[in-house]
Amino acid sequence: MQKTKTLKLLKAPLWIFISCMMLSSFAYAQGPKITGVISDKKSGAPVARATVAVKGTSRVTITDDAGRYSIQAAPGDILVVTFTGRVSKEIKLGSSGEMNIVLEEDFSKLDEVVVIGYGTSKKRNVVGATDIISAKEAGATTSTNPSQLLIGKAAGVQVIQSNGTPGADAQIIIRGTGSFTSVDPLYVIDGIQGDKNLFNTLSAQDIDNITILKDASSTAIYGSAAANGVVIITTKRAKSGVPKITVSSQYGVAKAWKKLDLLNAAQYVDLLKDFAATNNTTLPAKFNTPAVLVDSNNWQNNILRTALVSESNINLSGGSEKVTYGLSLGYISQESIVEKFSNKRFNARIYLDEKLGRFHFGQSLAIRQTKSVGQTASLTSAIQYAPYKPIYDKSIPGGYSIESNVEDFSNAINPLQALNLEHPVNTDYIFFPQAFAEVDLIKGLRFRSQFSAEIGGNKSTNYKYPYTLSNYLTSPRQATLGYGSYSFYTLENYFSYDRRFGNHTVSATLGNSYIDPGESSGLSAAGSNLANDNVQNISVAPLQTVTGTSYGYAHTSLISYFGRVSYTYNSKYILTASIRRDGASNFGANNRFGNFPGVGVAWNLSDEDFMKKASFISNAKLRAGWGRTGNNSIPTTGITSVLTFSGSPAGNAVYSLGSSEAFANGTSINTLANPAIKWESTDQTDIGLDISFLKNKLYMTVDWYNRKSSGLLVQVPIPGSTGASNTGGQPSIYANAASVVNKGIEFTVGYRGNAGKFSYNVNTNFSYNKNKVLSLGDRFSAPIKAEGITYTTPGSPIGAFYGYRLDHVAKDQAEITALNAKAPGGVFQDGLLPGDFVFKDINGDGKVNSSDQEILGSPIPKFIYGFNAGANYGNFDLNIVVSGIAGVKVINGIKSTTSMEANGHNATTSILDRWRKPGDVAKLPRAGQSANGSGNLRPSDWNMEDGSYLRLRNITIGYSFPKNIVGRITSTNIFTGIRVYVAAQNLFTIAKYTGYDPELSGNTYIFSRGIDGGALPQPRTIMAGIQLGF
Amino acid sequence: MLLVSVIVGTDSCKKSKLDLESRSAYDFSNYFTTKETMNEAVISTYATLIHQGLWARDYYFIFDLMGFEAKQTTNLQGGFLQLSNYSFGTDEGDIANLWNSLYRMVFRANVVIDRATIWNPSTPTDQLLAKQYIAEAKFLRSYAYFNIVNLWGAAPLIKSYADVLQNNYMPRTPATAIWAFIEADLTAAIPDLPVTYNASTDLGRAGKGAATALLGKAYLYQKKWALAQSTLTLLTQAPYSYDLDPSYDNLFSSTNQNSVENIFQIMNGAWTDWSIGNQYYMFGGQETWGGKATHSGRAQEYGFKDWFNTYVTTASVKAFQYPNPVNGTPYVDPRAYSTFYGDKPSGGDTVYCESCAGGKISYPFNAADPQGDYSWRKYEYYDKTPSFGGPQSSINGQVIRFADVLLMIAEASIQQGNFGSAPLGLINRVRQRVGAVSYPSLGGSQTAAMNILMHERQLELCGEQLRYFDLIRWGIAKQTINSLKLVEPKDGTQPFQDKHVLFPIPNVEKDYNPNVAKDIANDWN
Repeated sequence: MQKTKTLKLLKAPLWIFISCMMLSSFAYAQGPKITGVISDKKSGAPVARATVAVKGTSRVTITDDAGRYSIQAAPGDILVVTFTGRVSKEIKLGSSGEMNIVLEEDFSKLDEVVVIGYGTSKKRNVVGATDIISAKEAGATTSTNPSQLLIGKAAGVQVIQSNGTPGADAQIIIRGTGSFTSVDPLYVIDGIQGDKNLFNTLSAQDIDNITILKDASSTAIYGSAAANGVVIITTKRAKSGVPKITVSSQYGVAKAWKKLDLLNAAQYVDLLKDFAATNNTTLPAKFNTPAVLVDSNNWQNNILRTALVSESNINLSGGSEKVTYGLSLGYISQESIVEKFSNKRFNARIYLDEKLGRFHFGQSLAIRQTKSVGQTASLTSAIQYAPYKPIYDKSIPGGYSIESNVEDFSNAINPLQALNLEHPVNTDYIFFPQAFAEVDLIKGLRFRSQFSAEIGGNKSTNYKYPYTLSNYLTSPRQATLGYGSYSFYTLENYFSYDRRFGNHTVSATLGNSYIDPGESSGLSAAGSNLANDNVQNISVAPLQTVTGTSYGYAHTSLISYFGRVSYTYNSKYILTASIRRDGASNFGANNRFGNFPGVGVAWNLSDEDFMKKASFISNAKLRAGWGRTGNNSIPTTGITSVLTFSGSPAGNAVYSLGSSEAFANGTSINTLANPAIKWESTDQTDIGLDISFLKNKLYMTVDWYNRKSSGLLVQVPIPGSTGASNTGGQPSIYANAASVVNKGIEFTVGYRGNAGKFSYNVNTNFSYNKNKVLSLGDRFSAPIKAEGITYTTPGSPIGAFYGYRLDHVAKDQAEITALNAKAPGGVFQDGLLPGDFVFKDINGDGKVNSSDQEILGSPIPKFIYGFNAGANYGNFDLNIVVSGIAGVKVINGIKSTTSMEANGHNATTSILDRWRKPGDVAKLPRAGQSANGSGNLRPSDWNMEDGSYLRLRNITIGYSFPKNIVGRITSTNIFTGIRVYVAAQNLFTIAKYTGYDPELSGNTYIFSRGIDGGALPQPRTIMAGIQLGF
Repeated sequence: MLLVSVIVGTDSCKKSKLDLESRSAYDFSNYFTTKETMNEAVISTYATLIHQGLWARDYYFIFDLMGFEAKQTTNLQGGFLQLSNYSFGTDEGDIANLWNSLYRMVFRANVVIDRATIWNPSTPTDQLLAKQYIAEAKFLRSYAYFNIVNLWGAAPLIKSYADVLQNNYMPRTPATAIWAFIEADLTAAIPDLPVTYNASTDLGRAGKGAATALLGKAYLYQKKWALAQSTLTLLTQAPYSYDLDPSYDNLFSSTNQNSVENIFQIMNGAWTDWSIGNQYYMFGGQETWGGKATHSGRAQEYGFKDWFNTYVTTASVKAFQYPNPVNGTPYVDPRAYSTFYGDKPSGGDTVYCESCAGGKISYPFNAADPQGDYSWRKYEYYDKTPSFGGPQSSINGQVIRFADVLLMIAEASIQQGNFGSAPLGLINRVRQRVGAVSYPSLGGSQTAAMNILMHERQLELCGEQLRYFDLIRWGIAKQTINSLKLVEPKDGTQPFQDKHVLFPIPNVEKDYNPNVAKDIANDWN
């Protein structure tokens, strides 16, 4: 019994095997024949090259160009028809003769090839949690950078635009914050390791699809680099055939979607009067004149503008069966929504692919050049600068008005001054060549060698007109020039083996990888004492000084060995195991190598007989995996040993000696070493279920994960008393300091359907993540504090906000006296005056002191969600992307400007609700009183706000001209397709946040996330574009 | 290509590829092995004297304001304003910078001592140098701890580089242990330091006299009167040749580095050009974006024709007016002229630009100024130019000068019950240099003598960042400052609380050092 079953199972795939080998040449005929036409349900067109087999036999054929087939089969036989992208069909023959078969679209994509680490796999056989985002569905046409493709598309993937400055990159965070030093995932571009920089090098137009590997069973093969997940980018490849040319172009305008209400001149002067009274000072004489009451300028309006955005792309591809080629060119020009910055980017990519017998070669070269001109005006300065001030003032060198404490009781900066008097120009370029060679050695065994390099550089110049800035500080005429360059390469070799033995499929990968440290260097110089402004560069400066030099490595050097085995039984049971051993130059000789194993299993349970009855379930797969990944993102040198410091640039550490007080050079050290530092590791367990219903039209994925990171690499601030820092800096040390856990659930549901001319797809994803620090290690048991308000301690999220809770503003002295009377020791809150914030006595001991602080909130969102939908009706298409986060807090850092007066400056109308005289019940404290970090500005929930938002990222409506109209427009048939569209980005945002924009990445430093320091908000952009195919 | 890759791949997998050495800095372990590089380590320790919180800018603001010799004009804002009216909190940035920079001085001194001990030079000359470098480092370390123990009392005491490596989280050590460490350091340093240095190349380094003076001062502050007197008296004898500068004004001029009165100064060099250094380096650019710069911001910051951040307090101005010690008639001390600009009755200088091309100009005293329009003349150079246009002053800050030493000797002997001719002679010697009327006697009691001594220190050393320390160590800071502020025009506050006798342990320490944090009472110190 047992034996026969095995035999049967072994027999089953034989026909598939034969069909692959013999294709249409299989033609011997005996017995009754059946013939027919295979057609597509949606289009009604015949399907050529579909496979028709008789189940349980070795008989197989394929359809011809007319969709016609002919095969020997008897009544009772079962015909199996398969075709890529269509649902396979099994039909039991009733009688011989004609049998036409209609194939339906397959929504399951189970046979879709998924790119995984060092290879590919059918989606059916993938054991890990992966998301595949096709650029077409993601609205690639309107994306100005590749990260925009990912917004709102995948569960557990958060994309944060750094800020609204054109050309600014984005932070992609997968499954919460697991590492302290970096949240960036690994980027793999066409199979070769890259980084965020390279990812941003690509044009969104060049990307075919992006696969996100989230669980460690699939990422462990990338070992050290994969602790934060892996983003695999597959670029567009050419297909053989006549050259295809597409041209697209879009133009649009971008604007700020929110403004704050600023005080007018009268209200501002009133505020300064209050401030002066608080500080026992008198206002300068001009405040007795009517000049200060004139509303000359709303500085916010002065700096905000309607920015122009344009993008154009040309793609050309084609080739023969042996050689394919492609070329793409792109150009983007963007202006900032504030004066006076613009960014231009030029992309080019050339690629070739050659097949030569058992050899396969590919080469590509991506080039990017960006040029940014000017600087952005500061929103904070625009809020602060006096409304009575004119823009220009001829009496001030440089021609722009300024404030000084002496005359204006304020030293706020004219927001239009520097950006009109300084002209920085930065040019960056990157070359990114990639090449691979593959050879099929013996059946199933392939060797691949791949090489990539990153060669980059920049040039920066600046010319400053001589001018006088606030408080009459002088900025001299100066021209600067700087160059930098870097380069390094990656080389990888691996064998892969893929073979089926009956019901058993085995695949294996074994290889090594080397990343060369390469080098980086830079030089900058400044020229001064220029005679006039006629020649605006350093070459004419009589005094030229080197202001900076650098020499180092472009990358950490890494040597790795990796291997993976996969075993699939009957496409039902899948087991994958991998291991990688990484050696990195960051660590000392004893800690250099780390081992990163991974294992995953999957069960296609819908293929089981007992599931067949539940026909409403089209597919179901259970997955489970565990893996370990690492992190070494710390500087390449100077961590395990101590380096000398003689100023930055070297030679700047001086002291004067001798009767002429000449400079003498000094050298010391400013860091402490940690020779014991070692790999950070992340262990992740993932359990998931993929299930689809209604012929795969409705699909769902659920994943649960538990991601525990230990030995986290941290640059921990250490006490000032150690002395190991530069002037003005806080000492810090790199260490494996903590462990943290991210647990979460991800849920995706989607539906694809069509009804006549109408076809549509909707997809919603939702994830919940809980971030918790488990321990801070032995050495760093002290909570890690940063930015005065974040606090990292066991039991709370990384970089949680910590401080006091605000109660109210003290009304009068009587109230304070009453509070003090009840307080032990007679003081309720140290230094409390009428008009000050009264904070909550959290621990209930009758007074407010440092023990009345607690965790106030977390900057790491608990919920991330996205919704995207696409629809086609006839020639119209629609794409909508909505994304949002919830369960998150942000610190509105500009509130200390908009709503508090620690020194003289303008503010927003919120400050009108301040305490002015005894008895006032006010929201905000008295101007200028106790406006310090142990008074009203102590860390508290006063400026903490709900950071949740829901944002309509993108909405695009397009129209493709029908073929016949295209033909009519261009009688020469020059166009094969024309599509026009309009799109809007960030059309609306629903948020409670009172600052400019709740979408904050804050500082890249992990302990200071979610703090708004006045970053440029994301603009609202409206665009129109056209795509032409030739 | 395939073949090439395999070969390169194999070749590159050598382990040495993982041993990367810095290309932008030397390795600490083998750099400090010559007298030149060791000297660099010493220089870098001196360089901390002009780091943030210290002498390039903040130090004079902090102590002139808190000692109530200077007060805010409307131009003074932010942290200094809070120091000025005693409303600062534990997050005050200048105090944090001062703390961090003093400990950076300790750290760099410890590095010098650590390396010089390992150096083991072969020639006798170099062996002497090694000792001298260690002694200089010990002087600077003592200077740092002297400030730390006076301002904060109990504080972390880091005795060596190895200490830091072993424990980044040093608990506080009682003040007595810090004082003992200072005494031991200076006692050890004195024999190894030269009396004088080569004037053209090394003037400004701490010599035997500087260490002796600081040791005597340390005794004085601990009320070890006899030791203070005997130690400080050494400075009046051979091998030392210190004397009072015949010109009081010369002490606060751009050539003050060459004065015979110097015992230890901060060496501020003139700012010359943007291509060399940044005029605003003292705002945190030291050793980094500031380029090469060592100048002082004081002239620009205080100068009435420039940033004019502070007035001289009316309290200080009035201190220069007192009854003539001989006949009791109203008297104005001649040092008023050198210390501030004001009106004629105040005794302050009434003209500036004495040596300008366009001739002298009257000081525009505003009699209607409700604050009292007295501005700083000491450490300014308006005699040479009508305005500075930017920070560039080369006028050195004084740490210890001979007049201070003479007054300290006088004080030590008064405190030992001797208020006779010896202390009287010392005080009158200081007075005679400026042509002030000599005291006929010190008043016949220890209290009277101390009052004269305290007043004399106030006048002689006004604006030299010593009064705050004096008021604290004399135990009269609260009563003095509150009573003076109460009657100061446009002030009328009494902000000095008991907690203010010590600086708060700054948040930058408290937040990152649990061993210090748990030891702090009332969130302050």
